[in-house]
Amino acid sequence: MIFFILGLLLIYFDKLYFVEYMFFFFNSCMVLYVLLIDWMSLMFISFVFLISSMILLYSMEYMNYDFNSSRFLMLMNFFIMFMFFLIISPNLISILLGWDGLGMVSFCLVVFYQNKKSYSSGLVTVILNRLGDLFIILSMIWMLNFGSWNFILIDYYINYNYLFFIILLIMMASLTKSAQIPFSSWLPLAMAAPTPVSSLVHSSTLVTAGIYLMIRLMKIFLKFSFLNYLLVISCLTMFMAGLNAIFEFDLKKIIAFSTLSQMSFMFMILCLGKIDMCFFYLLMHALFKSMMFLSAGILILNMNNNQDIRKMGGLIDCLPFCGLIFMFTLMSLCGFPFFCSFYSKDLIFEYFLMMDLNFFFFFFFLFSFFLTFFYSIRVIYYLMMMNYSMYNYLMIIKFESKFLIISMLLISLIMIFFGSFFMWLMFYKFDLILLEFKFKILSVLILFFSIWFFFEFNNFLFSMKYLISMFNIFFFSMMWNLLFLSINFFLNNFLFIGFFSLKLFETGWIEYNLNSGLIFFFKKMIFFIQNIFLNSYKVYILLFFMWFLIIFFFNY
Amino acid sequence: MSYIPYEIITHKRQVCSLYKKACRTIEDWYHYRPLMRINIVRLRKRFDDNKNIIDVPTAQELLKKGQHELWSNQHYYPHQFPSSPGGTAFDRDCFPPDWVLDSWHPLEKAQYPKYFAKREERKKEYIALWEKRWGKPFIPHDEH
Repeated sequence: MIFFILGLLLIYFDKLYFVEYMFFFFNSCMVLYVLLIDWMSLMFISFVFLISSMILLYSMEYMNYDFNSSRFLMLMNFFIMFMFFLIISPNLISILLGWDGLGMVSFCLVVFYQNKKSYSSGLVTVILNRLGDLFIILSMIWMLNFGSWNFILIDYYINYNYLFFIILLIMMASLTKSAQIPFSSWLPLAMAAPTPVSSLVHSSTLVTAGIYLMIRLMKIFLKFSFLNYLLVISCLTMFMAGLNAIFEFDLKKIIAFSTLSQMSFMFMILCLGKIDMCFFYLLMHALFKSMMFLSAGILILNMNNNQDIRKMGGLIDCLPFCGLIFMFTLMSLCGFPFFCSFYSKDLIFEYFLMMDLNFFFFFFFLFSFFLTFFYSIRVIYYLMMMNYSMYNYLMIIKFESKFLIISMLLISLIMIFFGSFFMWLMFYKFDLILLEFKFKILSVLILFFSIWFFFEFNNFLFSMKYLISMFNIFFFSMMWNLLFLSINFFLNNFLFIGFFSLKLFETGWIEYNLNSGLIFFFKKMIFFIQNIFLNSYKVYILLFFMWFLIIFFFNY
Repeated sequence: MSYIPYEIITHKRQVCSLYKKACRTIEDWYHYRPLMRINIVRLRKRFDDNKNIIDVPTAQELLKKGQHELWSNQHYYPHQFPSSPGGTAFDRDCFPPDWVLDSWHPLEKAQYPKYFAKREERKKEYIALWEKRWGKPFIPHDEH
């Protein structure tokens, strides 16, 4: 709350505070810890703290039945702390602290349930995140040329030819954190974590870190040409995530795919150059996505850990409050009028239609909008409109307990009313949008079309099996084979190298011969050299030398 | 083939398991409950039609055909019960076994002297109880 009010004050006075703490100085390179306090960082911190506090309140109840709940709370606090470090310091060295910490703690949280499935998914998560760290470290090395790691002041170093690599590397790093297309396989796998964790990770902390970094660097990005490539990547990711969400049956994974598509939507906004809009959508997305996960968590808790939406149904009778909030979140995901994300999403939609982009982008953008509507309607259908599936609702003995309700009610109220509030506070400049009537009602048309298409789909084509061949279904449901590619081609090779080296070097004959053999060899050498350095040898050598001289000189 | 069948599965059991798997597959594909029921009833009809075939080769051929049909109709995301193998909540709570405490370093053990002193006592008591009940363990001599 304090951060939020401070942020509002900073907007009002149009100011920013920049605090530097210098650790040391060598070879004209300053190693600094920088605190940048402006409205953006303060707003983001206030949202992170709000959401994480509510999630901690929620997880007090949710993790009550777990044996390691204290460990869980500690890890969550670590996570929030590292996110704070990442937000507040725009310096490559000090951002690495938060960046690395987020990767590590997210690994610990993914493997919180210590079964085989979560171990394997945690491995994928941590290695792809380490790849992002690698990019950051490489860009740090390149930035030694400039004598400082403050990328917020990078404008002053100007020679743009040198900046190319840094910007490229930082872009790659943010792509890994925000799980864009080559690196997106870890995001649905990270769903092995407990639900409060995935709510925190997907709403405001881990995946938004990449976008936050991009927002910080955007002024430089706009001078380069690879925003076009980024636009292609984000378009494809949005499309892929939407398709996967249609084919997926795991509730948490569907929400993860929706996060993925919204992330790439934010990247798309960034590429169009609307930085403030992107930040606004980031905050709103954090609100409704955390709510979505929390209500899904209540559902999963009541279904005895069952996450399959085929076995759910009749939510509105059993858990009315939870169902209501889930409905609200899905509506704000679709940009329903006067919900929080309406103010950003609709505006961006119209901006996009105003731009002169080619057919490829236009098609992918509209189609992924359609897919967003489609999967949210699908989730609503499966959770609320479908009949009881005789399976798990007999087991509902639990509740929507007090803590769960309080924590969800607070954010949901903010979620509903905050969009307009924020809009009035932040954006007092208005842009003129001129569109034809056709384009103006295009989003509504897409919505109705997707509803119609979904029910057609459900009535006549009971399964997707008859629509597409078997091979294609496997292709679409496995993230365009990205899961397979990243695990089997990328990860397994490294694991094999590790296994090979362990077998060959640490438990093999090389260990015996080289390591212990080398010690023996050096021991002998050292004895020999010490003997040489004894004085007696010196005297002998001196005598020999003198004797040699005497022979040499008196020979004539 | 590298696996050794450790038991002989009878034809009846194979047919029954085929029926169960087919039911599960129908459950995966058809999510609307009445539709699923009627498909399962139709499946049951198909099984019941061939119930009384006594000729073994034709019965086996039918079984093979059924297995092939099951394989070609498999679901890309089969439902798995959460707490059974392959499910999301399988092996979720892991309990470290009791002997882990014995493998602590003496320095670590020294941090909780009271507990470990009592634990040693309890171990002796337990061994005494065990020996009283089952007798001393038989340790074979090393005879090379």
